[in-house]
Order: sequence, then structure tokens, then C-alpha cells
Amino acid sequence: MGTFFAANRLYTHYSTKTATRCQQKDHQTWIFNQSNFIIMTLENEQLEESQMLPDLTAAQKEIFELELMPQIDALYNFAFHLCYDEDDANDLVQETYLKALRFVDRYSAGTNGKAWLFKILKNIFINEYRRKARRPNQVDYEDIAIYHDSEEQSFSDFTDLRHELFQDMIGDEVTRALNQLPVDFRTVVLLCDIEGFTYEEISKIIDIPIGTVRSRLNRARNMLKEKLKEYAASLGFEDKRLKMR
Amino acid sequence: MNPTSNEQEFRRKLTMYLDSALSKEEEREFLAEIKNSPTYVAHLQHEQSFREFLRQKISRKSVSPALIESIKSKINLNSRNS
Repeated sequence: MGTFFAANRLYTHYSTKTATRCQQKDHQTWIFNQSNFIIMTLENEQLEESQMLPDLTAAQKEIFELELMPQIDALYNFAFHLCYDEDDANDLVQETYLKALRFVDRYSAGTNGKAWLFKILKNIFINEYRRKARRPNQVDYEDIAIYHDSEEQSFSDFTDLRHELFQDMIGDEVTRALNQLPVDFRTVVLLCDIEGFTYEEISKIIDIPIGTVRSRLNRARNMLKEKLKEYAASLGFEDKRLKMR
Repeated sequence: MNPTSNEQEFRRKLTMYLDSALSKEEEREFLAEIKNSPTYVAHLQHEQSFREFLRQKISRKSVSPALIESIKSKINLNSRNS
């Protein structure tokens, strides 16, 4: 997806990532790249015009500089682990900031800018990227298991993973195991264990009850441990499940 | 804590303790309940170690300077137009 500015309006088009500017005349639109070469012409109806961008006040600009832009590394990391594609992650983060720009008047300075941006990014991902990002060998958590997504049941299962089994693993193996989880499970692990959001913040970001956050986290961690165990077993390490009693 | 009947409750509290979801008083109570159970303490240590392992090992992707500049330029461009 490309986004272009012209006459203080934001345009989006879904066919190119290299465009930087557009010019419209007589029902035709010319798309330019950074070197100012025309790389595409479009009929007007092919171009989607979004809302007018707001004029930033000095205070809103300060919000972006001091509270929102510093979250870009965390946002990009989250986006990448959702999409598995650098270009899509770039687009997702860029769209997140452009949407934040449009709705910055709804944000109060000094509140939780990181959680606000993560919620925007999650919504864009769900609406525009999720279908594309879904891999053929996976199904969504909601598709198969929402009927037993209760907190009580989630704690009846608890996978132990001995330290000796995972201490020598390198990051690639762990990242691969995380990326194999269905996106709803992966999301809660990223938000809680990597980004350090609280249950309440996660609940607001992904619009599920706190009890469901807990149960989903518990299941996600169990699934991750099982995948790491499988990997350890493939290397010849024996799993000796720690018994509670 | 009775280990035969409260295993599930232990797991719930252990998870909430490690996720910093217990109040300070609840944390103290939880640690007091498990301190005489070597098995529970071992579980706590394993889980702490696993969480730390995840934080250290899951790769963090770095955002490109070009993306940062692109976003900043669009925000600044909009400001200049105002």
C-alpha cells in the first residue's frame, strides 16, 4: 500500500510502495516516485481519498515528538511479528502513525500513548492485513477454541519446561516457535512478555475481557513451551516433567 | 497451601505474580504460602527463568531510519501546510 499527500489530503492506493506524491488533473492522476518520475497513472476512481488531515497544534506536535514517535521501535517489532514481512510491517506502522495523526485530538497528553498506538495498529492489522498474513497451515484461535476459552479451564493445564532444556537455545529457535503460534496467541505473548503490558492494558488493546487475556496467555505460553520441547527433543534432550507433588 | 487441592490455585497465583498482577499484599501472602514447599519454589524459579529467557531470546526487529524519516516528514509536511 502506498500513501501520498497532495494539497493537504492523504491518499492511499494499494498497488505500489514506492510512490511519494500524486498530482491530479482532468480525471487522471499521476503518481511520482522520490526522483519525481511518473511511475503510474490512474483514473480518479481508482484512487481512494481519505479524510482531510488535521492541522497539528504545537501541543499535538509535542505529543508526537515526545510520546508517540519514541514508541516506533516497539510498534515495528509488534507489527513484524504479526505480519512476517518487512514491507507490510513498514506499511502497518506508517498507517498507524497516520491514523494517530488524524485522531490525535482524541488523545490526552501524558496518558498511555504506547497502548493507544498498539490498539490502533492492532485494529488496522485486523481490518486490512490479517487475512493476507494468515498462513495456510494455521487457523485462528477463535475458529477452533473459543468455546473453551475460560480462565478456570486454562489453569488446569500447565506445561513445565525445565531450564536445562531451553538454556542453550538461540534466539532464532525461540522466535520461530513464537511465530508458529496462531496470531491471537502470539499477540498476547508479545504484548505481555515482550512489551510488558498489564492484563488491563492488553484487554483494552485487543478488546477481550481480562479473564480471557489470562486464559489466552496461559494457553499461549503452554503452546510455546510444547514447541520448544519438541525442538529440544529433536536435539536429543530428554524432557522430565517436573511433578508438583 | 494444600498441594493436593490447590494446585490450580497455585498456578493461577504463580502466573499473576510473575505478570505483576497481584497487589503487594497478595504477593507477600503468595510467597509466604509457598516458601515451605520446595516443589512450588522450584516451579516459581522455572517460570521466572522461562519468562526471562523469552525476553532475552525473542528477536527484536529494528525499524529502518527511512521509515522514521518518512513518518516524520509526513507529520511535518502536514504541520507546514497548516
